[in-house]
Amino acid sequence: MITLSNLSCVFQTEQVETTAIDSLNLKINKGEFVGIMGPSGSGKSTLLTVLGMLDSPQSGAYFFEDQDIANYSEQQLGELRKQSIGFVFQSFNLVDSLTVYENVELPLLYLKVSKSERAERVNTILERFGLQHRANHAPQQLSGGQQQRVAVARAIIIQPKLLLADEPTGNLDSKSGKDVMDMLTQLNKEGTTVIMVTHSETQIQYCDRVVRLFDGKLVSDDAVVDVKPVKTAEA
Amino acid sequence: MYTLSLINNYIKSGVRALTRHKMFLALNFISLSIGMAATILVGAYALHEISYDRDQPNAERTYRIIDHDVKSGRSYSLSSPRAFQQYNKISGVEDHMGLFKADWLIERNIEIDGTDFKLGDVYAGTENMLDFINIDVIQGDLAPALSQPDKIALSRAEAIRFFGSVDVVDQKLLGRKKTWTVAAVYENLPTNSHVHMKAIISGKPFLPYMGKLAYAYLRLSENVDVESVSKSVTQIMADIWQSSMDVSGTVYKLQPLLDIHLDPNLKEEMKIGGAHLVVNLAIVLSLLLVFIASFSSINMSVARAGERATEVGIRKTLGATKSQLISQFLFESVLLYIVSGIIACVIAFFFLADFNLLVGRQLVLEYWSWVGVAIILFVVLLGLVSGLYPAVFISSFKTKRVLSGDLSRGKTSIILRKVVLVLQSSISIGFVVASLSFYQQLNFLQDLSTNYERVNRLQISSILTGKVFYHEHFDETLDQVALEKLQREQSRSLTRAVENLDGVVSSTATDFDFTRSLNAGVRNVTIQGVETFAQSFGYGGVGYDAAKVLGLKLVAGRDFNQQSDWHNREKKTVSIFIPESMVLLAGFDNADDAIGKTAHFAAGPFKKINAIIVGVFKDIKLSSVKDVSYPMIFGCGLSWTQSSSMVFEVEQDTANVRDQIKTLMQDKLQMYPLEVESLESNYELIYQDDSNLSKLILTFSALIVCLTTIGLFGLCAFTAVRRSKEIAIRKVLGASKLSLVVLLAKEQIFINIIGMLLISPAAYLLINRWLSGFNDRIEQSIVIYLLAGVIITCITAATIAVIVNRVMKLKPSRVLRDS
Repeated sequence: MITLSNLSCVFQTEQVETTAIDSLNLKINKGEFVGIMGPSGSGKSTLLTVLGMLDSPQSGAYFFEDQDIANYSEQQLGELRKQSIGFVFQSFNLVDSLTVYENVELPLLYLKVSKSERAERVNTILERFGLQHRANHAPQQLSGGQQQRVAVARAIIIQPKLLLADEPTGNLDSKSGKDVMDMLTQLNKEGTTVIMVTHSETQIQYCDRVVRLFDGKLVSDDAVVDVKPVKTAEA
Repeated sequence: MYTLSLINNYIKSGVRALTRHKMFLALNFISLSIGMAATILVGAYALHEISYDRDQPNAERTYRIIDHDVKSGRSYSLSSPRAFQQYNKISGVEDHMGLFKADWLIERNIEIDGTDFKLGDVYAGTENMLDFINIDVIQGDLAPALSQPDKIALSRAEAIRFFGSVDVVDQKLLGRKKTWTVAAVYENLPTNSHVHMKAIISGKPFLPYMGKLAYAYLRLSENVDVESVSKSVTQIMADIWQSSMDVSGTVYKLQPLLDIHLDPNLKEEMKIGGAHLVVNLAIVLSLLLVFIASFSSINMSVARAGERATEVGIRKTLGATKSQLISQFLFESVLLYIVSGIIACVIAFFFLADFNLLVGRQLVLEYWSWVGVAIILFVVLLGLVSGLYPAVFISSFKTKRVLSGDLSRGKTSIILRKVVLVLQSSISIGFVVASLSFYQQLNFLQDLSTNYERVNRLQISSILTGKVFYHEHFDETLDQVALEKLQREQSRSLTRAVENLDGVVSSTATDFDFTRSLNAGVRNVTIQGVETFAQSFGYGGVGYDAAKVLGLKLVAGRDFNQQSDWHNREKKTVSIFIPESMVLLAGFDNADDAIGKTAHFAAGPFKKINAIIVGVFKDIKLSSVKDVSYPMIFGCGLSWTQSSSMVFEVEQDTANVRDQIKTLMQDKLQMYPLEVESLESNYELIYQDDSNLSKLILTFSALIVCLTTIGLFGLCAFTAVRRSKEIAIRKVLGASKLSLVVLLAKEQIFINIIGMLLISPAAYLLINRWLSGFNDRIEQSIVIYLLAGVIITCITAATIAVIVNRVMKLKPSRVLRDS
């Protein structure tokens, strides 16, 4: 589904040039659950934003479903992104001025989905995540776990081919964190490719494969072979 | 459908984002709506001012003849009965119309069904008046009123005042000697016209008088050279007057009808006109207000951009294009401006009466017309323009940086914000300086010594000169010498009668008006042993005791007395006062040397007058100090103007004294009705325009400072929120309130200093230009500029102190935990 070849990303700040990603080669197949690990500054968040088409690489190729999108215009990237990719962030990033319902509905507005279909899809997903009684609340009125569930709902309402998660449980207590991880696992089972940045070895257990980065370079790319008690219990 | 949903979404998030910060919203609404309200009022005013006389027939080809004195730069409406017959002979002139104020020539007291009324603003015109002035006749026919001497046309208001109805054709107005028959009733003339006539009569009987108070209007053919027509007019006048007056310094000009209202007012206008300066200044000031309000709004939007940045990042992530985001924020801006616009309309409506008082007009706001559409367009345009920068700025946040919490702002935005702040601070300081200077200058003028007395001096003006002075009659059959003797006797008996009144000290006649200017001048002046003076002098005819009554300061000699000083036509003698400034010019060592010497001059119809100098007075200042003043000679009992005044020195200006004077004078002069005015209030009227201008500037300056402060308050409040963590840490470390105010105010005070340095040269030049219009003026001092800077800095510091006080109330522990 995704192939990165010799991909580099450089940031220019004031006087310093920082190479965030250095000649990276990576292939991710459809339906995989990939974890990305590495210390601070190793380039994992940058990798995620490049994968999410929020940043463009300086060199190298990025094939998304066999198309090289490295030279796509911002407009084209936006078009591709809103149809194919969902995001979940550590800090939830809900729009404060919109209600839960409106937050979840937002991607559908940009996809020009009709009003009746929007209502149906938003209600279905809120019900599935147990959030329908919160539909008219403002994000600030919700707990962290609930906010992240809204964020996940918003990410998957477009039925994305790829779900990108940046430390989705980083700001959550363990119970809420587990709920969110369960949701991601469930989505992955339903066919969505999931790529997740994490610091937590525990959460790597949910993944099929773990990619480790250091100084923007790929250090290791292994299948997660450990028996996954959590995952089996869930299954 | 989709677009509607998206707009709906914009509205929701826009309204909520705005309402989340009640203070931000309130500040924006206050400053924007005040700015827009000012613009609406000023816009209505400006439109009204430029609409004057546009509805008159062939307005763009119609001109008024004015007489322009090259030396003094003053203009008059002056014509001659003989010129009227010649205007049509000038090539390019299609038609001409004569019009003049008849109040002083007709008997104004009338009786209707046993009730007394008084006619006022009666104008006599030629028969073709309707070809020049739009008059909407609602009853009867105007033609008889313009052609028959006993017919009159009344305006709707006058008809209703006299009869309570407009259906009054053929009704009678009974005077003592004359009965008027109403021929027509016309709709009240529109306010946006320089013409103001409450009643119209035929000009025919008054043709010989069509001089000083006559307006002559010319209609030119298309594409005619206006300059050549005015030259022809000048030539006609020169031919007529070459025998009797000095015409070398006089040119005649054609003033376009459409310019009459905003051009400098002539002394004899039908009503007080406007001024280009006031209109332009008002427009500039109101636009400045809107700009300042918009700048504040832009600055506040950019300052709180960080709050919206996350939303932008999310929307981008979810597929919003940059143009969609820009339109979202533009939409929010327009929304804000529309609501402010609505508030502005309400504010303008409520302040209309006060504004009308300030500009002296009766403006109405007709929102349900194209005016409303214009306001909507203006507001939307303003919303779009001032929303553009914040919209582009906010939408340009890099998604990745925003979502990872990096909200550092670009250099451009910081520079722009500072530029805007410097600009606002310059404007504020500039206007404080201007207001202070205006105030200073006007006070200076009011206190200026004019070397004549205004307190406890009453005046009756518009008296036919022949009633108080000897007046040259063109009728050769009359015995001029006998007439003059009679007149001298009359003046003496009048003086005695006035002095017998309770509360009246003395009186004298003058053939000029202190608060206006001289009507006459003398030329070819020689004083014993001294050659002809190169310059001509002003001349004022006065009566007995002039120095005492007028409060002239005699530095030598004595006052005019009844024994010997009155003009003697037979001997061609008259006693005169000369001004102190003339003493040196005449080669005398001191004022006393001049006394008793004889001067000769030509004056009006008199070829050579032998004048004996009996007094020397300190030069006086007539009219406004803005006018150039010439040295003037006063002569006793000699006048050749048409209209004169009586001035009375009273013990105290009371209604009783005024009544007595009025009754006596009406009886003695056989003129009805006369009006008693106070010299002091007439003097204040001269500076009415300047005083209104200074009120206008003061009001707008206050608003400008107020809006700048609001903007600054909003900006500082957001800065304080942004830096609340820093403030909290400093507080934990023991910072005092004062040190925090200094911390936050440092930048702004620096900005004020730069603003002051930037605006000072421009302000200095502009204020100097305004001051140069006055002969007597204040010197600009640096103190005013420093004072303005200090005032603005104090307001700045106070604003910041209020905010620091608010922030200090927050518990640092909470601030630090929340962040």
